[in-house]
Amino acid sequence: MKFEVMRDRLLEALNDVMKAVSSKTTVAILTGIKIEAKKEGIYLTGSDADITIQTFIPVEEDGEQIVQLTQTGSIVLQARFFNEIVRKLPTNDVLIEVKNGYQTDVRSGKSEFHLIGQDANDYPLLPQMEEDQSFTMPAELVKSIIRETVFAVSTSESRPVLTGVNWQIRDGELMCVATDSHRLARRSTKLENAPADEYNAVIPGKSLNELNKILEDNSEPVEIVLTSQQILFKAGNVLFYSRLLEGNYPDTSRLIPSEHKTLVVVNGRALHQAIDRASLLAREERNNVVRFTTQGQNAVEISSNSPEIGKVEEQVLAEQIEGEELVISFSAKYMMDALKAIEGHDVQIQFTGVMRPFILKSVHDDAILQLILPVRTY
Amino acid sequence: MDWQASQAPERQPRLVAQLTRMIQSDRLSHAVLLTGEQGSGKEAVAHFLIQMTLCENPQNVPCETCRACRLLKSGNHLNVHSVEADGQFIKREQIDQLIHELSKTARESGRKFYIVHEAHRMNASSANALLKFLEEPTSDVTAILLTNQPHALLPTIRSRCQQMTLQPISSEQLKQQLMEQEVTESMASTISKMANSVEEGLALTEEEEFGLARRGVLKLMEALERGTAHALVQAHEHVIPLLKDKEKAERILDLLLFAYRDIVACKANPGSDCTFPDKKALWEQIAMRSTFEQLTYQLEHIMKARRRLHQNANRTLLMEQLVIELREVNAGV
Repeated sequence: MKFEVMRDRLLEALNDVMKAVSSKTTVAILTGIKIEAKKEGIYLTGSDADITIQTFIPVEEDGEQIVQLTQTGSIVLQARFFNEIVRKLPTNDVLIEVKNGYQTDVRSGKSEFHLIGQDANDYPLLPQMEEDQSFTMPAELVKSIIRETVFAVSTSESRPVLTGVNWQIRDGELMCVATDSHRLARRSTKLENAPADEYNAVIPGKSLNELNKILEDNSEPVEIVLTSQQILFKAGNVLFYSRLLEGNYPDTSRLIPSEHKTLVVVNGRALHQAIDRASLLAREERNNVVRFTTQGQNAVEISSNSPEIGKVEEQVLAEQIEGEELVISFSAKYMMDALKAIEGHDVQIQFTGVMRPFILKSVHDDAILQLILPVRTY
Repeated sequence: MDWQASQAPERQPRLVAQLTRMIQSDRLSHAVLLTGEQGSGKEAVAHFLIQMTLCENPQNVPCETCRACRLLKSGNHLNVHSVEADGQFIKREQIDQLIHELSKTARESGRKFYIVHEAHRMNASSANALLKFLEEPTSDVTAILLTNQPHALLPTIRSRCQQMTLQPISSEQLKQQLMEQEVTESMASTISKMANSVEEGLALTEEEEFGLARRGVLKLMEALERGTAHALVQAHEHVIPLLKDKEKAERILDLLLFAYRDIVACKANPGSDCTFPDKKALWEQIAMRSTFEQLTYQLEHIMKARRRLHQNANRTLLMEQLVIELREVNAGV
């Protein structure tokens, strides 16, 4: 393998790939990144077993020569060292050459590194992805779907399947659900070019967080390819593979109450700020619990009381209150997470009783639904 | 750890043949418990089992050339996970992590495997966490539990595994094999009693401290003949400095135990083979003047010292006391 490449392009590609490489892996080959020189360009691959990121540097782009390929081939190099070396090379032209087996020379200007590589055949193979089960979405939409659901995944490993987000495609609609069994976040999205078959998979929350960091906030299309073993997100020259969680995701549709006894419509941002303030005194005590009380037809009171510290009360004006009077307590953190996901608009909260879960939605559409279990207090 | 699959057919021929038949007819259980003494080749058998299953074109042995075989040998196969005790126990978090890892889809083709080394080191909480996963594995997962103390495992775990027992290598065989590796006969006799495999035995011959321990114990045995004071001096000079940690101290007590075993064996049957053949004359001399009762008394005291060692008794005092107790018999108690 021998090629010359522009340092800034290599660095840019390396940056994305490095996000997948973990220093904690037990498998030696995964501490490296695979470099593959093919006729069409250079592929870089990094992986931590859960996620795999592959980037591509084309030989030519916009009429500009980026890679000068002399000989094709592949090698695995220690990720940490290679990344640092490329970062600190003196000129913008980098020559990479593999000779006598796995010895790799990295040259730039007058500086020359000799690295010992590993056999690229030992690197995990990327799964074969059938293109027919796929659909596209703009990057910003993928990002907002992730942001609106992934915070609700479970952090405890006792039920592994709950550490992921359930993606379900049925009737041209993508339904994403995350729950840690105390709260639930659900986001549905209409797909324009949904695949014909139904699809159901659980994607690890950690993978989605990483994906969120890699995707840029723009309207470039992201192609999503689905298989039973892995899911692939294609954005430009970056491919992001993630493993899936096995096991059946619990059926959450039954948990969501269909009717309500009390309906409150309130400005999301105002409520968020009031709860944030009330939780200041609640922080230490009893898991951030705050109390929510309806007052007449157009106000709610947010309060919190810690005997040792003091108490706080605040009134928030409501657009509308219907149904029974209500006093309910819940975790301030869960409520703030949920309000953040709905983002600022007027929020509609539907209660079905003091000890029953309640749901939050935007007044404008039903796409986002947040469900929270209240806390019993006396 | 090195991949040891290729050693398995040689070390456990019968079990390997049985496993091969089971794999070929697809009758292998989803959980296997391999029990066998330290050094009987549990890892080798576990590795063989995995390689045999994952190999792309196995005959009666793995092909050693396909991608799966190569990855396994270099330790880069992503479908194989293992857990070892972190300190004294295999902790709950380790099992949780393992289950979390295994609940994700496989990266390479074929089944997923996990090996729990020294499975008896699981504490109650981790054993119960694993039990749940053993009962309802999420997909194609095979568990391989290794232990030399099957009875220290929860009965509920044992009952969910296909249990297989490895044959320990006989001490006579071990002695012969060691002598083929140019170990002297007297050393080979001692080591064949202490070690369970040729590798372990050879490692012992290279360990300077083992030679010192053996010599120290024999010196002490001679000194015990000459009087309590002599014995105490010898103990302080040659034995106590070697009691640096629990394992080493345990080894010295074992050597001492084998010395008394030799004496009993000589008394019962003068032709029997010894752990220390080079001292046979001394053993016969002691055997002549001791009664079985006296020897039993001495053996019991060594066993008692060994138990107290595990209760973290002061090792110097322990040794001194033992020397005095061993002498008491001669004084006519």
